Amino acid sequence: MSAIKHALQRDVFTPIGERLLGVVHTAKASGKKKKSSFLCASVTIERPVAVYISKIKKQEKGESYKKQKVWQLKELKVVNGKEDKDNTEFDLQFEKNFKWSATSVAEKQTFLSCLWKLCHRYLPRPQKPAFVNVSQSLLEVSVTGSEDSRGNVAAVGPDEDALEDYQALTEQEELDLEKMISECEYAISDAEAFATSLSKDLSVLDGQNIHSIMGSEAQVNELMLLLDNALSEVINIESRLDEYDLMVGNIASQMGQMKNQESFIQITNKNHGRLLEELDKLVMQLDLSKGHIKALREADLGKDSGIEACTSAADALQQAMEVELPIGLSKLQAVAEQQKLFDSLRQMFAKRLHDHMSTLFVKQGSEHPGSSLARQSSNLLLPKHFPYHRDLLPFKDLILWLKLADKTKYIQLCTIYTKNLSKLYTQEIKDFMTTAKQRFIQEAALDGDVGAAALKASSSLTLNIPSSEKSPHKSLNKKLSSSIRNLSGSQKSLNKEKKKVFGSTQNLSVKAVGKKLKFGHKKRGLAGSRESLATSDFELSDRHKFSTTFREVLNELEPTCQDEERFLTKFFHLNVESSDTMLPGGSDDEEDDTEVGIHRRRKYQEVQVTKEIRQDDAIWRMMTELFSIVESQLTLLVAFGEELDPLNSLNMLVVIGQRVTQAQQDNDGSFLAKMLGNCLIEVKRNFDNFIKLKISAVEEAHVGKGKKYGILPFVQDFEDFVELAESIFRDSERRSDIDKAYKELTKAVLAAIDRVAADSPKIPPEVVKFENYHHLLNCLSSLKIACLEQDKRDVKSRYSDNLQNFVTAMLGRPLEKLSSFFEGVEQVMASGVRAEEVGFQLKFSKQELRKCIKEYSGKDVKKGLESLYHKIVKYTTEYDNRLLQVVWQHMQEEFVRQYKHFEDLISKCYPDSEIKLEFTIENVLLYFSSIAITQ
Amino acid sequence: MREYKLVVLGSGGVGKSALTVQFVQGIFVEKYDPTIEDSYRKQVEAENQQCMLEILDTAGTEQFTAMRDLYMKNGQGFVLVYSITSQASFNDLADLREQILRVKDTDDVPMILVGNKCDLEDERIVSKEQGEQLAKQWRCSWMETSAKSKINVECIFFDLVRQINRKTPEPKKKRKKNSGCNLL
Ligand SMILES: Nc1nc2c(ncn2[C@@H]2O[C@H](COP(=O)(O)OP(=O)(O)O)[C@@H](O)[C@H]2O)c(=O)[nH]1
Ligand SMILES: [Mg+2]
Repeated sequence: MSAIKHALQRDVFTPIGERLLGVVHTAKASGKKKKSSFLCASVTIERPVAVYISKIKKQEKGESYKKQKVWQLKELKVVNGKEDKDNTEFDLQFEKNFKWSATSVAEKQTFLSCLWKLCHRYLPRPQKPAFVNVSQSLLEVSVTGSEDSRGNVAAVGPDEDALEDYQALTEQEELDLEKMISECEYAISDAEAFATSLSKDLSVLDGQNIHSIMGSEAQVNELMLLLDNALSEVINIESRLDEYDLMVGNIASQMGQMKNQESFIQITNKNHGRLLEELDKLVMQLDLSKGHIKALREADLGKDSGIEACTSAADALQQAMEVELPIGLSKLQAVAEQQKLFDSLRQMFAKRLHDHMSTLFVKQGSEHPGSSLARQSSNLLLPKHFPYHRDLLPFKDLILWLKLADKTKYIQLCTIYTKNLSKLYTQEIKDFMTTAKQRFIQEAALDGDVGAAALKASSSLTLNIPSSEKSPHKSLNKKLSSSIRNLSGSQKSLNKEKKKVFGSTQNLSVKAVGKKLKFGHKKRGLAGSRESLATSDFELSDRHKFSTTFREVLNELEPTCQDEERFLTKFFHLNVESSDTMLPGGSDDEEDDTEVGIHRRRKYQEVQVTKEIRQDDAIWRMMTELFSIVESQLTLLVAFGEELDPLNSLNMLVVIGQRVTQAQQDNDGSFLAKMLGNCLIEVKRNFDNFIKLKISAVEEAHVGKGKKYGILPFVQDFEDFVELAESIFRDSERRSDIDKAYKELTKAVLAAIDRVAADSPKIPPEVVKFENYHHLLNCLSSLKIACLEQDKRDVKSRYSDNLQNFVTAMLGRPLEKLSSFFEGVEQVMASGVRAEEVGFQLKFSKQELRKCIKEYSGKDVKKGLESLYHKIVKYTTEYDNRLLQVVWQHMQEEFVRQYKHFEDLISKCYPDSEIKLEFTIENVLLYFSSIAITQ
Repeated sequence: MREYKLVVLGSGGVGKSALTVQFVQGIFVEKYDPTIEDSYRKQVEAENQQCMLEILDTAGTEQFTAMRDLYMKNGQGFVLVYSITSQASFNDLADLREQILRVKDTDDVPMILVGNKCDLEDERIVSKEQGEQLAKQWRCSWMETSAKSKINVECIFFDLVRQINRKTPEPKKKRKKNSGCNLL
C-alpha cells in the first residue's frame, strides 16, 4: 500500500504542490463491475491550507494515474462507516452520497481515521462532517493519544511528525495545553504563580535530571578510574617495552661488533692460510730433495741410473730456479740462501756435465776406425754412428738443461762435439772416399784390361772378387769364371801384392787408366765399326757400373749426414723454435687432394719460389763444421770421376741431379742436399765443358792424307756417345740438358761432315757425305731421340740428295752419243716441230739414229758398267757393302730410266720404223746383277 | 769484339730460361725444366758495335745458393726476373739484389728489373706500378716482357749492354788511344 501511496504522491500530488495524507483502494459498490480506483486525502503545502479528497484512477495501460474527481473537505457532509464487522463499504456524502468499497477493513478504518483527524484539524466545529456508524475507538485513538506526555507528541503519527515546525499546535498539544491550563486554572489569573509552579516544575525536573546525572557520576567515576588504571597500565607496558628495546639495541650493536670481529678473524685466518700456502708452495718450489742434490753432486754419469737421477734432479733444479718469485720475496734470507745454493749447484753440475760430455766426445772422436778400414776396403760402407748416438742420447735432456742453465757451457760443448766428431768423420769419409776411388779404378781397370793378356785379367779379377760377388754383371763372371778357377791358387798372394801396388801408386794408376780409356776411345773410333760396336756394348755396362758405384757412395753419405743432422737437432735441441720450417713440405703432400693443394702444387710447379729454407743457423754451423770434409771430398770425387773418364760427368749429372730434384720436391733443406746442389753445378759445368770439348773436337777434326774416308771417326764417336748418353739419360730429369747437347753436337757433326768431305782430294765429296749421312741416319733412327727428329729428317734428305748427285755424276751419260742425239731431238720438238716430223730432218734422220745405236753394242755397255763398278768400289769403303749395293741399285734405276726415255722418244718420233737399241732392258738388268755378283 | 757477361737471376719458373732461349735462339720453350746452370753465347750488334754476349741462365732454387757468389762476381750485368703472376717471385728479388751489391761491393751495378709473362694479363698479381716503384727505389731500369709473345725480350739485353757501356766504356780502345798519344 505504501508503494502505491508513494507513487501517487510522486506522480499526482507533488506536481500540484499537495501532500497525500491518506489513501484507500476502493471499488464502487454500486455497479456490478468493480471499478478500481483510489480515494485520496491531501493537503496543500502552501498556505492557507486546503484539504482535498480526490478520486484517482489508474490508467489501464501504463503506470500513470488520473484524477477523476476532486472535492474540498469542507464539502464533506456525512461519513458513514457502516460499522458492521468485516464490512468494507462506506459512504461519503458530498453534494450527494457516494458509496465506496475498500479492499480491506484495515484500509477503510485507517482512511476513516485519517479523515476524522483532518476534519478535526482543519475544519471549524460547525463545518465538521458527521461521522456516523464509525466505531468510537477509531475516533478516540487519536484523542487519547494526545493526552499522553509531551514526549509522545512526536509519536502522534508519522504523518503529523512529518509536518513542519511551523505548524499550529496540534490538537493534542492544544488539548495538553488546555488540560494544563485547566489544571492551573489560576494560571491566567496568576501568572506569577504559574511561573513559579512552572519553575518549580522545572527545578523539579532539573533536580531529577541532576539526580540522574549524579546517579551516573559514580559510574563515570568508576569508569574514569578504570580508564586511569588502564592508562597507567599502558604506560607501564610502554616503559617495559622501552627497556626491552634498549636491551635489544645493545645486543644488536654487540652483534655488529661481533660480526666485525668475526670477519677480521676470518680475514686473518685466510691470510694465515694463504701465507702458509704461499710458504708451503715456496718451500716446495724451492725445495730440492737431498736425493736430487746428491745426484747432482756425485751421481755417476757413466751409468744409466746416474743419468736418470741427474736428469730428474736437473729438472727439479731448473724448475726450482725458474720459479717466479713475487717481488720482494727474493729478499727473504732463506730464499736468497736457497737461490745461492741452487746457483752453486747449477754451476757445479754444469761443469760436471760439461766435463763428462767432453770426455765422452773426445773419446768418441779419437776412436780410430783404422782397424775396420781393411775390412771395409772393398765394401763401400761408412761406419754407422748409431752406437755413438745411442750412447749419447740418454744425455739429451741434460743437454737441454744445460742449454737453459748455462748457455756458454752448452756452446762450448757444441764446439767440443763438432771438433772431435769432425775428426772422426773426416777420417771415416776420407777412408770411404779412398775406397770408392779404388773401386772406380778397379772397375775401370777391369774394363780396360778385359781384352788383354790373361795375367792382367786375372789380377784385376782378383781385385774385383769381393765386389763381383754381389756384382750384377753375371756375363762378366761367366766369361771369366774359368780363369778364376785356374788362378784361384794364386789369388791370395796376388791380392796382397796388388793392394800394395794400388796403395802406393793410386794416383798414378788413375791417370794411367784414364789415359788408357781415352786412348781406347780414339782407337775404337778409328777402328772398324763392328769392333767398336762390340766394345761400346761392353762399355755401356761399365758406365752403369760407375753410376751404380756413385749411387752407392751417395747412398752411404746420405743416411750418415741425415742421421747426424737428426741427432744434432735432437741432442742439442737445435730447432725447438724453428720446427715449423719442415712443415710446408709435409703438409703439401697431405693436402694433395684438396683444391687448395692442387692449386698450390700447380703454383709450385709454375713458380718455384726461392723459398729461403730457413736453416737454423746453429745446426747449419754445426753440420758445416762436422762435415766440412764432405764438401771437399765430394768435389774431389767429382773431379776424380771426371779425370777417370770425362764421360763420367754424364753419370754424375744424372745421379746427383736425381738427388737434388728429390730433395727439392721434399723441400729438404738438409746439409747434404745443399752440398749436393753445389756439387751438381760443378758437375753441370764439367758436363758443359765436356760437350764443348767434344764439339770443338768435331769442329777441328780432319782426315790424314792417303787415308780412306769411310765413316768419319767423329761420326762414329758421335754415335757411340749418343748411344751411351741415351743409356745414361733415358728417363732422367736432366733429359733437357743432354737434349741441348745433342742438338749442338749434331749441328757440329753435320757441318764437319760437309767440311771434311769438301777437303777430300780423291774421293768425291758426295760419297763421303752420303756414306756418313747414311750412318748417322741409321743411328738416329734406331735411337729415336725426340729432340733430334728434325735433324733426322734433315740428314735423310741430305743423304738422298747426295746419293742421287753421286749416281748421276758417276753414271753420267753412259750412252753419250745417244743422249746428245735425243737431246737434239727434244730441242727440235721444243722449238715447235711435231714428233712425227722429226725424222724428216737431216740431222735426225733414221740413218743417223741407226748409226748412233750401232755404237753401243751390248758388250760395250757391259764393259762400261764393269769399269764404273770398279770405280765405285774404289770410292766407297768396304765397311758396308749394303751401301754399295744401294748405290749400284740407284745406278741401275738411272740407267733404266735413260733407256726408257730413249725408247719413248723413238716410239714417238720414229713410229713404225722398227728401230731398237742393240740391247734390251732385260740385258741391262742382267748386266747389273751379274756385275754385282761377280765382284 | 767486346764481351759482356750477363747473368739472369730470379725465382724458379719465372721464365729466365724462356727469356734467354728466346733471345738466343728465337724459340719459346713451353716445357718447364728446372735449370741447373746454362751458359749461352750470342753475337749481336748493339750501339753500332759487334758484341759477344755471354749469358748465364741460373737455377732459381735455393739449393744452389752457394755458387751464386761466384757468378755474381764474374757477371757484369744482371737481369732480375720475376713473373707478374707471382708476388713471391717479386718479393724474392730484394735478397738477390742485396747479394749482388754485397758481392760487387758497390751500389752501381748494371741491372734491369724484368716482369715476365706479361702476356698473362688475366693472371696478373704484381701491378705495373709495383714494378715501376721498385725500379725507382733501386734506381735501375724496368720492363715487362713476354718470352712467349716476344715482347721486349731483346730490349732487356740491349739495355744492359748500354748500361755496361755507360758505366765502363770499352777499356781497350782507350788504351790504344793512350798508347798512340804516347808514341806521338
Ligand atoms: N705465358 C707465358 N709463359 C711463360 C713465359 N715465360 C716462361 N713461361 C713458362 O713458364 C715456365 C717456366 O719457364 P722457365 O723459363 O723454365 O723458368 P725459369 O725457371 O725461370 O728458367 C715454362 O713452362 C714456360 O713455358 C711467358 O712470357 N709467358
Ligand atoms: Mg730455367
